[in-house]
Amino acid sequence: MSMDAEMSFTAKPFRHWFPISLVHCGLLILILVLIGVGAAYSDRFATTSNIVNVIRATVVPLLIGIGQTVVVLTAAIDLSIGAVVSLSGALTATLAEQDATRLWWVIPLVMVICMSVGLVNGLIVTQFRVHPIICTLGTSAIIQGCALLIAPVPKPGPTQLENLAFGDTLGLPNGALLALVLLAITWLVLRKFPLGAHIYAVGGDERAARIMGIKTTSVICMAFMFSASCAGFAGIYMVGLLGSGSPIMGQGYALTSIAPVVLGGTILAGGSGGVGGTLLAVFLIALLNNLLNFLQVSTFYQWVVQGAIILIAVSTFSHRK
Amino acid sequence: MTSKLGPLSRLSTGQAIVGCLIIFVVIAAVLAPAMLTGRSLQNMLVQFGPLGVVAMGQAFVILVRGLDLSVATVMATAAVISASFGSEPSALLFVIPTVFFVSGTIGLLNGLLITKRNIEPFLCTLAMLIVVQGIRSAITKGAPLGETPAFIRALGRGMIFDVVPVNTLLLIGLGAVSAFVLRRVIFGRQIYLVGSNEQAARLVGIKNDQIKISCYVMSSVFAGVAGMMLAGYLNQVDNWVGTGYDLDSIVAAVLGGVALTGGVGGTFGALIGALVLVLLSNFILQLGIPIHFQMIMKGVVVICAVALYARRKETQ
Repeated sequence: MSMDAEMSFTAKPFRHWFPISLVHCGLLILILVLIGVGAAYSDRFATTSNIVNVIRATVVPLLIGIGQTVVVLTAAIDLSIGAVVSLSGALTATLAEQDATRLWWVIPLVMVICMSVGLVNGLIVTQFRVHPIICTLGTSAIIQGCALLIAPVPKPGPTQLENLAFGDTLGLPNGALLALVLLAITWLVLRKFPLGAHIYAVGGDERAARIMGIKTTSVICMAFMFSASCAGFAGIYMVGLLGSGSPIMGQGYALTSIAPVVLGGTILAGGSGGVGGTLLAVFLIALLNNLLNFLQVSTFYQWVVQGAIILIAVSTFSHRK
Repeated sequence: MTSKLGPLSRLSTGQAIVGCLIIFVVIAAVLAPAMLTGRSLQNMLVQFGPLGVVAMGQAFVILVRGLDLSVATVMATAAVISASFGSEPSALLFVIPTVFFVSGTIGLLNGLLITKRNIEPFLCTLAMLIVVQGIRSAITKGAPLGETPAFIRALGRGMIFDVVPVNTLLLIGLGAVSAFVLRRVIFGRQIYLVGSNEQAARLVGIKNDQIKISCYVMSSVFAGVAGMMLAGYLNQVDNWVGTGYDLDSIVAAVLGGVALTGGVGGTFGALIGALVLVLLSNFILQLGIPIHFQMIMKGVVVICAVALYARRKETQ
């Protein structure tokens, strides 16, 4: 009897030690299909330089997608990501003033400011019981206003930041490498550390988690701080990518960050999903946009495709739950 | 009944918001007397028109526990439509039906996806926003369009006897009709029941989905009307008319006591909320504070309002 009980604990099913799900398989198949279609359409699609282009296009969505995934896992949502990207870009360009020697204190300062924005979000949600949608919608108006006050017009950033966006190590763009490192750390924390288990528990049932002794307030605050710092880093990266920091460069990024999360199988009700699906979904969306560029479909129709994908994905998943 | 808010918690939400409005007008009269002169008041009424109409539509959706983030894009679409049939008077025959049809369809799609496919309202309307924005920009090729017909211009900034703006009259008319529907018509009472207790509503035989879908259609159509007003006000129309009205309408509705948990509040409150918002925005302008402070103010106001209402609910 005791042997059996022990067995059932230790013998984990396959998918527990190799975390791949039906959603991941579906996304992988779609990615392969897209690569096949692209390769059949143009010789230039499946070349290394184009794939590096696609990878470069994934950096910002991946950064903000990872942050959004963690927040959604706690059953909240962060709509202020776009505004934080703008704030971080405006701050970085304004404080650094094209002077690379200032970056050593500008980057940490910007990250700390973004983190405190996340902390404020978390505190409003947990202490004042304001729904995350309304809270982050309100804070995003505040942050956007601040970004516009700091830099009413786009300001040039230090050229050395371009190294972050355009330099590469071992053939992979630096930004993509950093994003992948962040993804690996997040995955490790979510799967192997107590904090990760707490995040899933809070998302699954906040009341039950609190009764179990989990500090739900600090878990939710940490999730918001994490997503805001991801957005802050994405803003700094974008200053390197664009060569300047604009106060509206994060416009529309709330949707950009939610799309890969829901497409990657993380459920908005919280407690289920992970960053692996987000990675695959980000890559899928970037590949699709790249393919549409090859087919010379205008940006406007790409918006339509993006919205339609989200609607189809969510209506499928919400029914599955 | 010991509460941290003291005697304030005994006020009804409606009394509280009207009280806020009066206190605010007094402060404005002291600090920025220029704001309360005839010309300036007229200006504020003209701005109050579109915002009031969208806020009422938003109130319908929030009453059934929804949220409509696509109102701004519907407004832009309506504005583009009102400028795309030329500026002759006959264009009116095409403009108004097209605006109603397009905005109604967007609302219907929102409602169907949210009720039948179970999508979160905010996500569905956010995704719908980018879809509509893409289609609109693809049709107009992203370029600004021409002028609006005279009727639309009259709707936007026309005055009756040089005193009362036309859009204020339309706003009052729409407000009266929707208040009557919400209070005296069966459909309106059903909205409150669906919003406050979905299961009970289903048990007494109300078709929840139909009620919710009609609320989303109403929000979109109201946004379409507001878009026509705004197009007439600006006269020159581009693809981004109405930007920011999504947040503004939510702020107005919430400020006016429409509870995000559904089933509480009404269109009258949303109108008062919109009036407070217009006053606040003009107040900031009159004091000479940079315009971006308006955004900060709106964010602070909506968070404080929701937090305060949540607190009141706990104490009562």
